[in-house]
Amino acid sequence: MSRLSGLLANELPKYLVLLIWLGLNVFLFVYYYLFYDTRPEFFYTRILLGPALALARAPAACLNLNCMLVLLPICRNLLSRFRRACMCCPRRVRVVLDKNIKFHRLCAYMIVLMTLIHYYAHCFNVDFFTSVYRVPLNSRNTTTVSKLRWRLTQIGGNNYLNPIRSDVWSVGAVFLLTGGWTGVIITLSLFFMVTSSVELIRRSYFEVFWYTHHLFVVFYGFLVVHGISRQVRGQTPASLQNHNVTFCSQHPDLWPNPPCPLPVFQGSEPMTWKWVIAPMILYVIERIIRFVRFTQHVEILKVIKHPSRVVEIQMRKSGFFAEVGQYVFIMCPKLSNLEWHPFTLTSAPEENYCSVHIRIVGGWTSDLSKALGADGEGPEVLPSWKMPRIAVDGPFGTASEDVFTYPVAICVGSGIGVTPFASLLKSVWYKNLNPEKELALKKVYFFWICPEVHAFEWFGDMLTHLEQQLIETGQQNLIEYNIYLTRGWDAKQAKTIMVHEEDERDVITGLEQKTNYGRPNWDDIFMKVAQTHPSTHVGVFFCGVAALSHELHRMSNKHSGNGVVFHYNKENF
Amino acid sequence: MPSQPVKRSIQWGIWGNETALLGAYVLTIGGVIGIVGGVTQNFLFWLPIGIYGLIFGILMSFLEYPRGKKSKGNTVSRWHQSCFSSMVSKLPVVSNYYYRAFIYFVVCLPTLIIVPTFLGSVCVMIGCGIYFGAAAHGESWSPVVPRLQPQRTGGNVSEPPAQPPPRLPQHTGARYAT
Repeated sequence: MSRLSGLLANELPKYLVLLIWLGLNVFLFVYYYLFYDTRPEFFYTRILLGPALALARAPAACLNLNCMLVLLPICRNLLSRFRRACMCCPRRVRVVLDKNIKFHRLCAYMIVLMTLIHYYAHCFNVDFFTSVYRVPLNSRNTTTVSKLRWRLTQIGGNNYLNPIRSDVWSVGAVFLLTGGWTGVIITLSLFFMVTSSVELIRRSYFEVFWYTHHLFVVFYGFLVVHGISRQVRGQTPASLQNHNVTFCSQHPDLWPNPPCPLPVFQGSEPMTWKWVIAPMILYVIERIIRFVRFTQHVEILKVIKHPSRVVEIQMRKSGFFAEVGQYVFIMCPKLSNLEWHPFTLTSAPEENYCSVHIRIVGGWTSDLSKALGADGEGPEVLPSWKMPRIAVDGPFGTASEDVFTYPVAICVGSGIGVTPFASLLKSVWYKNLNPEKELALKKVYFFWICPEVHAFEWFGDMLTHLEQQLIETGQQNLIEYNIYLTRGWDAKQAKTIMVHEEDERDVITGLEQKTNYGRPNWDDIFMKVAQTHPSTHVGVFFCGVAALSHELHRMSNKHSGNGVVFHYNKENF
Repeated sequence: MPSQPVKRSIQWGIWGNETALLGAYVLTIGGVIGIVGGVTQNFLFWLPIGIYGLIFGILMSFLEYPRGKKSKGNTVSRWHQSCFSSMVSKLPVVSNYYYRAFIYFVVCLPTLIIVPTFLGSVCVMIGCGIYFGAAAHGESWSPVVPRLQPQRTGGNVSEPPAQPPPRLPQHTGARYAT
């Protein structure tokens, strides 16, 4: 029973969306399969193509749906606005919006699956069209069906049924059909996009992923014209009236004389553009917004070098305002005209500048730190006219915005994942300076899990100031910090820690609350929080490694119950 | 999230591997479709090329499945790739990407003549192109050797303890104060 409220809060919205999406796909597949497999206007088409017709058209309908849906989760401005508008909705609705990239991938997998079914069914169709020309017609064994196929294929002009007009090699026929060669281009673009989106490539060679993924422009461009030649054809209603299909299909030798005048065929209208035009326009608007933001001036106020290869950039942009825990995309034209990289803002909304802390890991970040003059040995400062131009897109909303709506929050950050919480804690500090406005948030349990000692000097200062201020205003119980060093210590450090065991302040962080060693016992922690705060909605916020995310998600479900509900929120870009 | 290495240190062979592997899967399924169509409808050349596509698709997937070692950083292996990896490392020419690209290209040529295997072979050929570029960059395939023990950050660092060190009662009390 205790697990149920956890599951309802954390799992139900996701699974509901999944069920609806799957249901739509199944419905479209079955509906269009039956449409092409049973309707009388496709009777003759089925004579030529058999069940492969319906098997090709059904996935096409699913492809229309998924090509429409796949663009929507990437419209970050749209999602952020939706999220803002949804502040009055239950939390569960907003939690679903955090899974946008997962949904994008899900739609992509479905597109791949449906493309394969569509392609393999059309392989049969192409050969059905071309093989008509190879069946001998004058031998004794020629069947009625073969004669019928030949008669159908002979129909010419605009009333044709078989788009292949002469005996050609099947592979050549693919390139004669508009649907064929556009299909080849579309599928190859999809193929490239899929192979470079594999997690290893994304994490190791991000540029390969980023540039290849822009093939979606080619994909959508050719998708819209894929059906333009109307090569899937059915009999016109007028023709169905004056040509009795049941009788005439048994007597192809009578054609074209009455009672079997030649049937007249027309192509189906291209439908795909109707599905995808709206999301395409929305996405174009997103890119236009990005371009407009690119042209807006960003002033770099300060560049601060922190230990452990972390660089802080403080900037100002007119008209820019961000909520707690939001993120931005940063681009530096000097390094690359096309790359935008996401970073969480570490400044609070109350400050008059915005800041990001960038960890120097790969090529782009090292080049950026060089351009900012932060790679030198000494604390030299570049004059502002030498600073490179940068562009900022955003801010975009994520889960951390919601922290202030919960009475109790558990915030967990692993390593550099602590950055959204830097913004939060600073904001708490500023809000505390104004004691008239009472916060709904009454207690924050903050957990920072670091692999090593050197990772948090820049954060340590901020924590010390915050701790001081909270003591001064008598609110030292508002935030409880727990810092865990997971990678252990060497012999020298162990001695230092032992000697300073009795000190009032922790020897590593300088905080009053002591650093812990090893990994947290989440079961214990969640249990204690549940006991301390009965009948409350506790927000659990996490940013960091996937393994810890699963653990916390599990704990949130496990310890919910008896009035306490742990709502799990994970940060992702 | 922080960004990753720029073009100058991209190991193209890794992407070539993904492309060729996915192409091999598509080719294998195309081979199956070719066999089905050849048997039921007797389409021209579907049956022989379908069998050919199936066999070589499977062989290519076996060759491509084990991921090569990344020159920088940790390589995430594919699930259970170690048996394939040991097999492939014993074969004579496959560690050289030039040979790999050429052999795959030649093997795929016959499958271009029927439609079901056409897509798979075009995808593998694109993989060949990427491998060719990787070989021109001086890359080659080497097996991923599993790490025998976890890496240490320094000589003196000991294993992190599972429990926090024992503290005097006043500290434990204060931390979990209600």
